[in-house]
This record gives sequence, C-alpha cells and structure tokens, in this order.
Amino acid sequence: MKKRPQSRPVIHNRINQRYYYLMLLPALVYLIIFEFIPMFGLVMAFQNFKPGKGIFHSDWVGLANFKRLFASSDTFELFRNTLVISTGKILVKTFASIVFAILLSEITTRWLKKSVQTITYLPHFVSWVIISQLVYLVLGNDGFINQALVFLGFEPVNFLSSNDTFQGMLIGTHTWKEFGYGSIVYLAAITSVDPGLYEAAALDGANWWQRVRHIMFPAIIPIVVLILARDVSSVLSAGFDQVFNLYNARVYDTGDILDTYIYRVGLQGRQFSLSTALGLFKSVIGIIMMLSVNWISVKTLKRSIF
Amino acid sequence: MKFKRIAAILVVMAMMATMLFGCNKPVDSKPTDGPETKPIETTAPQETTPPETEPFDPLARHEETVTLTVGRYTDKDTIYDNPFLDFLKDYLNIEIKYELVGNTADDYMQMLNLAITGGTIPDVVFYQTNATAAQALMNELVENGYAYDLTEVYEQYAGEELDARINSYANPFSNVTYDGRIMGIQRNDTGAGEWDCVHIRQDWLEELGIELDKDGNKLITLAELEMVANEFVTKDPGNSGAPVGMWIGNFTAKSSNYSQNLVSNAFGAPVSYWYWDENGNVADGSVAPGVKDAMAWYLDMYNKGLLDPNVGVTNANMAKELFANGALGITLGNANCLTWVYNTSYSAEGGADWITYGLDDGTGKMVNPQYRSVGHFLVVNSECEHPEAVIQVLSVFHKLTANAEFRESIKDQYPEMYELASSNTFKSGGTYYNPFQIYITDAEETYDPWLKYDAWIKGEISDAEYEASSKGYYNSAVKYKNGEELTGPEQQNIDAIEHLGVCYYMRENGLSVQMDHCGVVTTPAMDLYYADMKKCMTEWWIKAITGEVPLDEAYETFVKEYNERGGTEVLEEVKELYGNK
Repeated sequence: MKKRPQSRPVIHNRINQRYYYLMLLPALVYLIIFEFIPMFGLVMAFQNFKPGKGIFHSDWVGLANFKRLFASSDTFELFRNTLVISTGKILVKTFASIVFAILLSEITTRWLKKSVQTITYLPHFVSWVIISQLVYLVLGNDGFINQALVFLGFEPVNFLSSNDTFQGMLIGTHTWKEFGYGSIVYLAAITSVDPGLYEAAALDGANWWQRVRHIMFPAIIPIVVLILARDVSSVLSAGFDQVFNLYNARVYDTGDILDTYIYRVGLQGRQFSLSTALGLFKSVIGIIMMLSVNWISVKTLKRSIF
Repeated sequence: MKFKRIAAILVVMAMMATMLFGCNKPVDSKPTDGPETKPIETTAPQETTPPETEPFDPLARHEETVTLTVGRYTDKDTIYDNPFLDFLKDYLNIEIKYELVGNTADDYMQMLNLAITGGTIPDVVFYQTNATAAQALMNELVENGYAYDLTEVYEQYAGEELDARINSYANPFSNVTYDGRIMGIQRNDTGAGEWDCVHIRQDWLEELGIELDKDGNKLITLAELEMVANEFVTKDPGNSGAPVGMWIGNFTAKSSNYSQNLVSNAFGAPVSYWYWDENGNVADGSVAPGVKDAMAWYLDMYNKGLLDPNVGVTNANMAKELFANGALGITLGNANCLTWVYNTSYSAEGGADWITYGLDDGTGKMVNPQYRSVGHFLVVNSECEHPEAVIQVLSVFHKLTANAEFRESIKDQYPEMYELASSNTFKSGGTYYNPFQIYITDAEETYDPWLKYDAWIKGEISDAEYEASSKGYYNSAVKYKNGEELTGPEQQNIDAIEHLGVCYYMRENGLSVQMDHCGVVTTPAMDLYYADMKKCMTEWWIKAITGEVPLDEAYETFVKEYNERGGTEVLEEVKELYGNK
C-alpha cells in the first residue's frame, strides 16, 4: 500500500471540514466589516477631523493630537486616577471572586448554593444608572450608612464627595456588583477537579486549607491567568458607566478618568481627533499589557493564553 | 465533483461579495464630498426653484408635492401624525419626512454629527445645544458648504408674521450671517423670561413675618438674601428637619437654571462672557476680579451653613427632593425653574408660592445679559431643491400662531387645524406639531403673559380678551384674584407671570443693566480648549466656596490653570475678533 505524504492528511481534513469553514464565514465577514474595517477610522487620530470634511478631506496634523494629549496639565491626573481605580478593581474583584468561588464550592446543599449564586449574579445585570441611585441611597451624605453613623454618635463620612474615599468607593461598589458573576469561571474550574484528589489528600491527613492550597489553587491558576490577561488589557478603561454616574465636581481630583475626559472633550467638545488619539493610545497600551502578562505566564507558569 | 467544487467556490465568493458590498452605499447615492467638490457659496445666491404658482407668495400652493426631509429630536408619535402635517400637505402641498430623529437633544446631536460626516444630512436640520457648541457647528456647516444661502429665499417667502417676529430683535441674523449672507435661521431671546432672578418661598416669608423689598423696586440685596437664608435654616419653615439655605447647581453657564452667575454679575464678573470692561478692553468675565469676591460671598454662606452643604454633588434631580421635602426655599434661576425643578414643591404641598426678586448689584440695579442667540438653529441643506418650501412652512406656522384672522379663515375647511392652532400648546411653540421645532417669539411676546394679566387686573382688557389670549393663565388668574385656593399648576402659572412682571418692571424702570458683552463667541482655540476650561472653572469654584483650598490660593490657582488651559489663547482670539473699544 502506498504511503501518503505527511502533509496530505491535513489538507484532506481541511477539505472534509469545508462546510464547517463555510459556517464560520458569516462570523468572519462580520468581524471584518464591523471590527477591522472601522479601524480605518483610527486615521482621525492623526487628523484635525471635522465632520463636515469627513475622513478623506480633514487636514493631517501628524502627532499633534498625541502631543496635546500629553501636554495637558490634566494628563498625569487622568492616568493616575485611571490606573489606581482600574488596578484596584481588577485585584480586589479577582480576589473576591476567587474567595467566593471557593466558599461556594464548599456548600453542599444544592438549593442554598443555587440561591446564593443567583442572588450574587443579579447585580451584574443591573445597569450603573440604577445602581448609582442605590449607592446614593446607601452611601450618600444623607444615606443609610451616614444616618446609622450619626445615630451611633460618629461623624458622617462623605463617601461620594470626598477625594479620600471616592476611589475606594468605586472599587468597593464595582466589586460588589461583579464578584458573583466573576466567580462563575473559577467555580467551573474548581468543579472540574477530580473529587478523588480531595479524598486522597484527606486520607493523607491534609486539612481544608492544605487541600485548597495544594489542589484547588493549582487547578484554577490557568483560569486566573487568562482572566487577568483579559482584564489588564483594559487597564486604561476604568469603567465609564460607573464613574460617570457616581462622580461629581467635588471629586474631579480623584474621579476624573481617561474615559470621562474622552466624553467631555470628545463628545461634548466635539474634539473627535483627540478622543480617537486617546482611544488608540489606550488600545496600544492594552495590547502591550496583555502580551506582557502572557509573557510572564509563559516564563513562570509555562502557560499561554494563545 | 469538480463542478460541485467550482460551484461551491463561486457561491462562497458571491456571498462574500454580497455581504461586503451590500453594506456600502452605492457610490452615487449621496455625495460625501468635502469642500473641494462642494465650494462655499456665501457670496452669491444659489438657484432656487420657486413654487409653480404665484411667485414669492408664502402661502402659494405647490402644484407638485414637495417633500422635505427633516432632522430634529423628540421622537414621539405626535411628530409623525398631527393636524399641522395634514394641513401642510393639503394647503401648501408640502410633505414632511423625518429622516433623522433623536430621542433627546444629546442623542440627536450625535446622530447629526454622524450624518454630517457621511454627507447625508436631511433637507432641513434643526438643532439645539449650548450656545457656544451650536455656533461652532453652524460655522462648520457653512465652512463646508452644507448650508443653503437663504438670503433671497427668506426675503421672498418669509411671511409678514414670521418676518415681524424675527425683526423684533436687534441684529436677528447676527449668528447666521457670513459674508453678509443669511445662512440659517437662529432663535433669539430677549432674555426676559430667561433673566436669572432670585426665587424665594413667599409662603415661608409670610409665615416667618419677613418683609423684603420695602422700597418696592423688586430688588433685594445680597445681605437680605443672606438674612432670609439664615431665617430659613434656623427656623425650618418647611418642617423638613434638614433645611438647606440656598442651592446652586451650575458654575459655568452664561445664564441658566440654578446658575451662580447672578451673584458674580452683581460683583462685576460676567462668568462665561467675554465683555468690554470699563476701559473698553475685551476681558474674560470668567476670571474677572469680581469672581474672587463672588467666591468669597459663597464661601461665607457655606461656612455659615446657609449654602447647600452638598454643593457640587447635588444635581437637579436631587434638588427636586429637597424642594419636595420642604428643605429648600431659595435658589437662583429663570422663569423656567418655576415649571421644572420647583414643580415638586408645588405638587408635594400644593401650597408653595414662589416670589421673584432681582438682585441688587450695590448700585440699585441688576446686571443681566440681553438679546442673544439661544443656541437654536435651523439650517437648510445646500442641496435642498425647495428651500422656499422650508421658509413657507416656517411662515405658515408662525402665521397660525400669531394671526387670529388667518386662523379664522381656515376654520371651516380645516376645523382640526383650527382647534390645534387656537390651543396654548401650539401658540407657545408647538414642539411636537412644528416639524422644524424652531419657534420664533416676538421680542415683546415674552412679556405677554404679564402684560395681559396686568391689563386684565387693571380692567384694561375684558375677561373674554384675556381668556382668548391664554385660557390656562386666565383660569389661574381668576382664582387668584378671588382669593381661592390654587392647585400646584395654577400657582406655578401665577408665579411665572409674576417673574415676567418683575423683569418687565426692571426693564421699564431702568433697573436692569444690559451687559456690554461680545455675545456667543466661538474661536478656533475655544473649539479645542473650552470643554476643559469649563471643567477647570467648576472644579475651582467648588474648591473655593467649600473652603477645600484657601480662597486666595484657590482663586490664583484657578486663574493660572484656566489661562494655561486655553484662557489666554482664547482671549487673544476674541480680542482680534471684536477689538477693544
């Protein structure tokens, strides 16, 4: 029998799978039309874009928009606020989600587990417009917490109007909203661990913490890396919806982030080129951050997200 | 097999081609060209196609149906189906087709920007935004050749009523005139209804036995304002348990609801205006020395607990709760406040009664801006085939609102239109019925509710005459005159009428000083920096008046940062444009 060359099976497989590729086609076309072609609009970052002139006739200004971006006296403050809020959110939410997933995995009563899951997932599906009102009711100067503090004889705290507490409040409320939903993937990873491993460890005398540390953690580390890599790619997006609905003029110092700047200058001030320049810069940083995390992961954990 | 493979490849290619090209507009569907292919024509009139019947008659009916595509906001069923649209179709043979409609003004502005980018703007575009941004967009539309030169068309087709109203203002086309040509229609305002005044709960004043304005000149001083705030905070006449003296919600507006500007005007600092100072030099009111004095006054109020302790945090929605809870009895604003935010105070208690006072600047007068464009523009696409139809629609709308004889003349043939045209809703602008949304008021018309009321009280006009002018105001006034209990909306009517009365009184008695300012200014540097300059203003005003930063340091840092962020550059450009006197 004649032996086929090595490469033939691959081609043969491709041909056999042609209908599957065909099914992929609409998604591919969608991606090209709505994700890749619009990237052409990034040229606005290098133009003095005027809607009346359009992309093809607006004047080219080179890197002027980027220079203006970094020459602004606000730039340092904007980047600092964005990074602090964003990093805080990533770290605290990830930690809370992992802890919650571990605790949830310990619940054996099915209805209780399902109920807790559903209740903690719910806030994820509620918009910040609604949640911000709840936050005002609870943390506002006349809110529930402050009324309780005053009742107990303490001074009220300006959670929403003090630069000392505003960023912490943003991180806390974001974590409250997202930790339940964020725990889904970690719970799935924990559930996929062979229960025999736990039983064997228990037989060997491992206590709960040792089982978590030596069995559960290693099982979820790839997922943690994946989620972290995804999250750090958007480290310069600190959550426009949340900040916009909660900030006010008294906390501009700590609450003004790159996205609110884009909204203010780009949409309200109709500076589309400056906004595009900032958006492009954010994307480039995001890609660099994601590749960096992946590189660290490959070097230390021998795992890659690609 | 080979045939099948080729066929499959062809099918796939056809699918891709369909999906890729099907989503694009045909090349010749609508030009997306810029200035190179669409030259600015601001010095010569474009060709127009007059109606096929009598030329230059605003009421001439077109023989062929003329369809006008329109861009506007407020997406409600009424705008698509109402008696005025039917009337236009039948009477003038003009059909309105909405091509670009946003739910809110903000949504619409985004849609409009996209349409401008794609070169797909409708025949008629109405837009409304803050005066500076609106002017910048107007400039852009003209510079890029999108605006029709309406000079001749307006002269030929503007009806008597429309023209009279437009010309009731000085320089009615000042913001839409380029090289002497009229490139759009702007809405002006006397500022009468929009003068910021002090609003105080009159029922609380009475309850506490406080008498203001003893000399009867409708003005109160800053000291009196402070005294009232102190009384309200210490005695809590609204029984709220947490009274708030005075509330301010805006630090950058030229003139707007809840804006602080009335106080800074009193200190000689017209914030957000470029004006000629006493030496005739162009100056920036936002950083005028009086700003520091105004900040100091607010800081003093804040430290004494007489200003909203959450100033900067409290927005208009939150303030509604304060009004509703009886916690707030003083703010600054125009007549619209009485029908918007304060309405919660009326509906909650049914007995709130707000009184209007001017604010004495220390010389026995009140400073205010007058005669200005209010950021409402109507632009006709330079490619519109029937610009005269646009002016005709505007003319007939204003004829219906202003000319009772004309209304009567259509009564039998168009009873539904007659009913609508006789209603207050239609006569006060008919937002949902008027397809172009822009409504031109007569410069004096703003005072009408007061003048009619005053004349009726004095017996100069009959009940029937007053009722015909406004049934709603009449009914409220009758109950008020008879000392009957008023409902919230009726009290609102009376308070709004009295606000206009105060403005009218001040104008007639020379108690209001018109600011000598440059109007709505736009310069290239403003396009770039103004959004940031405004943020800087808000930020430092709050820091200064809440004592977060010591006043001297706050004012100096504010001026320095404001100028660095574009203030200096903008001022230079404004000086070049307007020149020192």
